[in-house]
Amino acid sequence: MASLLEVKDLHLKYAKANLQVLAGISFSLEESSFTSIVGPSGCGKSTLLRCISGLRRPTSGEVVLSGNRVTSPVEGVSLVFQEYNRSLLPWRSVLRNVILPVEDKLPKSEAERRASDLLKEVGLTGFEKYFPWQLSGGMQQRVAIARALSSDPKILLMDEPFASVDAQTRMTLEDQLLRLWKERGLTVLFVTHDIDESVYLSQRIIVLGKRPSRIIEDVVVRLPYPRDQVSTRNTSDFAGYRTGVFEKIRGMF
Amino acid sequence: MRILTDYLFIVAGVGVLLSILLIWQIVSITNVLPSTIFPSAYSVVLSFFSQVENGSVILAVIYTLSRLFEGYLFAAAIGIVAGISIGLNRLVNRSLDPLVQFLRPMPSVVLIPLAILYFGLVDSVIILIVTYASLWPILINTIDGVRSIDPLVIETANQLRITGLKRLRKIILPAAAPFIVSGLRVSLGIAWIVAVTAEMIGGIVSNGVGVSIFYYLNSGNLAPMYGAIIAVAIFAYFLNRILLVTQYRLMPWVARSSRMLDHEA
Repeated sequence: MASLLEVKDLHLKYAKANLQVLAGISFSLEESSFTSIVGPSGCGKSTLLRCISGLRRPTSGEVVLSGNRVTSPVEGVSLVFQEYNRSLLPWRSVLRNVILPVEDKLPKSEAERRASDLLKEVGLTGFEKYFPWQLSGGMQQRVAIARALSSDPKILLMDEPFASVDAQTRMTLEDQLLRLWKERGLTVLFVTHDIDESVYLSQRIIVLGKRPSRIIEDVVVRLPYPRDQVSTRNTSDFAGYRTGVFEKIRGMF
Repeated sequence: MRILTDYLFIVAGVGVLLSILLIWQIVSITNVLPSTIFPSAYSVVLSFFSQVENGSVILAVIYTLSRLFEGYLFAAAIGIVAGISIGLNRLVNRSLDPLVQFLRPMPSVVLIPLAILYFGLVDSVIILIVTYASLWPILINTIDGVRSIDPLVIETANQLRITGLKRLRKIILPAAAPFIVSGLRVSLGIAWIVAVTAEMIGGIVSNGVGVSIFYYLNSGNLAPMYGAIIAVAIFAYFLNRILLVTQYRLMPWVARSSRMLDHEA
């Protein structure tokens, strides 16, 4: 398979604090793959994601998407933040939040149809007219995911998206995400600090080391899809992957 | 339970007001305070209603309000546009800051002689003073509102490549709106004070509620004077109320948090 996104020797240094965060990160993502990035907290996972999305310029190195260098946010890449309650716009209804990325690009009726279809896919039909702050955390994050998908991106970047929802909701959201990924042929890059979550979701796990971070391990997860919250997590393979990744980052937390 | 306490609070509030009127009435008819200076509460209330009935006080308030709103709208337009530019742009901020720092502490009334010098004895003097006085809270709040927009909202706008006027309309203005509206509310109170005060300065204008109050004072007609003062208070209350209700309607997410505070209080 062709690689869709290439990250080449990315360095990032905060000049003011004289802090080297990323010290040469290189990898590429194949189309329609699901990759997680794990690493100790403060290792620059979120920063890396922001560099890839074009929100932040790296000090050196480059990000190439379908042959074009990314220097600012581009079409075809969406980003979901951990803090759904801050990234959704409180003055817009659920439907109007989901429409936001496409409202000037599509005719109104088509944009609305697309948004309601997406809300249906994430199980929020009937909540179109609610405001984000009237919904629970898990529902808000589903609105944020629907919004990220409304521009029909090729790549979905997710920055610890399920870190602030409860365990039950988290499992539902994980399975919903896997379904959307399969159905839409998305390429997902998923940042998490939760090793179990990364094993459960991904085909591949990139393990970052302590700051200044480099890739210390690149693991291919050969667990069959569809995965199941109970049976997949109970297999010895699952435990093996989890232990393998955990050993790599043990002592770095 | 809540409805009952709400009801109790209203009864208590009205009770205090009525008691004050009652004490006023007693103090006045027993001549504890000279009734030439303190006409009885009853005669003041009576005079207030007759002024409302014959329209004189309403007309006076309308004159005042028309000047007030002209000045206030200028202030709102200047304050919001300048506030957003200052809030968004460092260069604009640095270039305008010394001017703002110099002008802001200056009491608006010191401009009255200058305005009379430039314009003569006309409405524009009051409009200018109202504009000047009500500009600052709107300006400062708008700047604060723009500066306190959540960085994640800005990143969201960047990520979705919402730029230029669309960014202003869809992101910046609504995000700063709660601050802007609280600036507008503070300014409305100030505008009201300044408009009535300026009318009291002899000869600038010949109508308006400030003029009426002074006219009644000079002619020794005290009951209608108190009546006009009550009218000023009542209109100020309703103006603020209208803005408050508009704010709740247009910004339910702000209303929610302030109502929650109400519950906790």
